[in-house]
Amino acid sequence: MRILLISTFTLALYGGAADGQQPAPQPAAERSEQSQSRTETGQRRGHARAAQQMARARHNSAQSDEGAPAPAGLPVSETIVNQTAPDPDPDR
Amino acid sequence: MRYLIACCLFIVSAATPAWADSDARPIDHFTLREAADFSKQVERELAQRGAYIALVFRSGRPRDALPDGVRYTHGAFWVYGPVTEADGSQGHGYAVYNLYHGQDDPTTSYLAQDWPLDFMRGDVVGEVGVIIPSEEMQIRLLDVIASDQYDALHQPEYSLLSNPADLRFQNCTEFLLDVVAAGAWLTDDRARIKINLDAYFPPTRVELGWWERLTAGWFDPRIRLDDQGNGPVNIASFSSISDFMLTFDLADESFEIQADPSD
Repeated sequence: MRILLISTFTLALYGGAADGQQPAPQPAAERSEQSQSRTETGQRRGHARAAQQMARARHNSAQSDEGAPAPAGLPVSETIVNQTAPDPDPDR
Repeated sequence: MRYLIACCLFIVSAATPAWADSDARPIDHFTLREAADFSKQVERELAQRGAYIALVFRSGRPRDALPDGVRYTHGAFWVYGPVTEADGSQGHGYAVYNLYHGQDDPTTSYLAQDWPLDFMRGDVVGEVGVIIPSEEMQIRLLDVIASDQYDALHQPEYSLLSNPADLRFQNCTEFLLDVVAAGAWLTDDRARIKINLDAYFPPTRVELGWWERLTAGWFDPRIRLDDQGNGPVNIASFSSISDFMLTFDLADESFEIQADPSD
C-alpha cells in the first residue's frame, strides 16, 4: 500500500499542462467562413445536422435583412419524448 | 483506530447515490410527471430565447453535498431539432448529447444521445444551469457535433475530478468545455486545446484535504487525481465554463431555471 501511495504522489507531482507549446491567440467566434467549411464534413447525426441547417438559415436570413426585427422564439412540441434513443454512432 | 474512524466518516459522507453524476441511470428523486414538466419548462425557455443549442447542467446530489463553487454534477448539450409526435407527425424539440461513464467500468465513458426527460430524471435539486452560446458559436458547436470532430474530442478515460488542462482524463463538463474550445479555436487537436485552455480558462478550484486526496479513490474508482497537481483540484464546472464563455463573447447569456410547480 505504501508503494501505491508513493506512486500516486509521484504522478501527481508530474501532472501539468499538455506540453510546453505556446497557446493560440485568445478565443473568438468571428470567422464564420472557416466554420462554414466544417459543415461539409458533418455526415452524421441527423438531429444535430437539422439544427445546424436551421441555425444557419436563421443566421443567413438575419444577415441579408439587417433592418428586420430579431427573430422570435422557436416552436416546441408538447410531446414528451420517452423512447430509447438510437445510438448516433453504432460503429463506435 | 484513527484509520478506521476516518474510513467510517468517509463512507457516511459518501452516502449519496453512487450514480449521481455522469451516469445514464435515473435517480427519480422527483415523480416522472414532475421531471417531464420540468424538462418541458426548460425546453420552452430555451426555445423562447431562440437557442438551437445550449449547455445545460443539473445536479444529481443535494447542494450541501457538493464542494464550494460547484452547483451541478452533470452537463450536456441540448440540441434543437425534429422530434416525432405521438401521432407520427413531426414537431420540434431538444435532444440531449451526453458523456456518461460506464456502468460495469465507471472509469471509462461513452457518448450517448437521449432526451430532456432522461436528463431531468437525474436531477435532485429542481434547478438547472444554462449557458446559451452566441449565434456564431451555436453554429460552430453544431458543426462540431454533426461531424467526426465530436468523437475525436472524446477521451474515454473518465475521472470525476478531471483537470481541464490535462489530456489524461475527461468527464462530462470537461467534454463540454473541449467541444466549446474546438468551436472557439476551430481545432479538434486535443493537445492544442489543452494548451489553450491552460492559458485562457480559469478552472473551478476544489479544496481537498490530504486525507480526502489520499483515500477518495479507494472508495470511488471514478476519482483519479493523477492529472492534478498538489494544490487545489482544478475542474471545469457550470460557473467556470460560463465565466469563460461570457468573458470571450462565446456566450450571450448564462442563467439558472428553477422548476415551476405550477408548470
